[in-house]
Amino acid sequence: MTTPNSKIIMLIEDDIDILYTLKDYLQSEGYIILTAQNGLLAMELLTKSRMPNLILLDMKMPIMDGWEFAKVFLEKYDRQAPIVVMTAAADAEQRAKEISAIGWIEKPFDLDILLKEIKKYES
Amino acid sequence: MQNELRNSKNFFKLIDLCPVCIFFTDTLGNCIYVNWYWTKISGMPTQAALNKGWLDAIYPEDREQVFNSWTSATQAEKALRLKFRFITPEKMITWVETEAVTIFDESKQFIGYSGTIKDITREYNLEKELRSAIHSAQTSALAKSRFLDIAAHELRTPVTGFSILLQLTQKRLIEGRAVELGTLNQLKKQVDRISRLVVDLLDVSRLERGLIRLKFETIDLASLINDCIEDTKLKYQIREFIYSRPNYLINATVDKIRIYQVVMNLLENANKYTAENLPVEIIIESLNEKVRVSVKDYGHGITLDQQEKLFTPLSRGSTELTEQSGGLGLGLYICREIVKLHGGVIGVESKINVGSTFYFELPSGLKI
Repeated sequence: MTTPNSKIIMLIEDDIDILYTLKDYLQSEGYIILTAQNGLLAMELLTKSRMPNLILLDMKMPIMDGWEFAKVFLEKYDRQAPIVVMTAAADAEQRAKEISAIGWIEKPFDLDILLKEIKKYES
Repeated sequence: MQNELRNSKNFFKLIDLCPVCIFFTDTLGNCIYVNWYWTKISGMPTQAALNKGWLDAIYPEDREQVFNSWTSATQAEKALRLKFRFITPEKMITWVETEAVTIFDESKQFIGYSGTIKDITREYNLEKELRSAIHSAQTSALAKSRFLDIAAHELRTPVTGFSILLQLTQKRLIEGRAVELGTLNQLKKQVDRISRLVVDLLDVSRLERGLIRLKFETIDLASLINDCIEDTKLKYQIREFIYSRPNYLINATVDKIRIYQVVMNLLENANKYTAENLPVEIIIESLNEKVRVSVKDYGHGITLDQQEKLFTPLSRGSTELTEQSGGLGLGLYICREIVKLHGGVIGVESKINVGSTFYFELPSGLKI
């Protein structure tokens, strides 16, 4: 389903089940998906792949969490890719503000709403 | 004024008998009279209290503040209300409240102060207890709300996994594609995660309210442990389990469902934190009037600091490995409460990079 014009989404999420289900779904919607289970793996992946059009970022992760990733990412790449926070926290909007993310989505979420958010923000 | 006071001897005898401290001072705050009750509470005889002698009866830490307040009040000829402590030569401390008012003669000339001192130690202690009770109630309310926050957060992850998998399956069915067995297994896995969290939450709530009643029966504990190991093997097929048990029956009077729960929890933890190629050892032994069950792993080990917190709610160690394992960190707390209900103890011995042994001891033999 992907084409040379397909947009790239980077999924950063420590829960494997959520990560792969979202990957499956977004691939079927025509996106190219990059996956990483924590911020550090995501930073490594960024050095050897094209800059994604959007980053979907979980916050609570081992090794390098969402806060740390956002800090390192902004320092190194500025705002080359918009970040949308995916969080199970009670105040998702607050989390997004903390890391200057462009948007947020609260877990659990509707896949259709996720897709709408992605389309709104993808660069 | 001194002469006037001395002339009314009978009146002063009456004042002496009052169950409250009474004093008079001159315009500079120099003491010219204290009643018997004052000498009793301060532990200072009348003669010693006169002039500025009374200051020595005040608890050293409060003395400067009392002196300064008195000086300011006398300079301004103003009334005074003050709380401080007396200390007797026997080191008995009394919290008091003094109230002194200005007195004037017939020509409205300021002639000094008359004052009372009330023992407020009981009220002070009550107030302190109340403050501490309020503080601990607030702390506990805060801990509960933090706990609810974490519980909700932990539940949201498997609920999210379940929800998006289900939505994806719906979409595929609409497209005319078949539902695969693997998808159903994944859905079941998420429901199991949710169930485990809910069961733990319910257990904690019931344990805290004292609603868990044990159903005691006398069983061979060694054979119950054997069942636990067999059930664990079904889930962790690669793992080697080493079981050491005596050749005889080990009778213990227990609630077998609850002890099964404890052993399964310890085995689950050992599996979670030990590399797949290393064994988990289970040892059951009879000690004096006691039976001891140990589950030994070859995991990362637990620091002393973490060991102390392990059996309290929400206190799972905070290494990267434990963060990855998720969960509410309630398991060991539940185990401890169940073992306590059996009149037993639970504990851990651990060395970093060597491994940990979790054990519990129960009274052995026939109790009922």
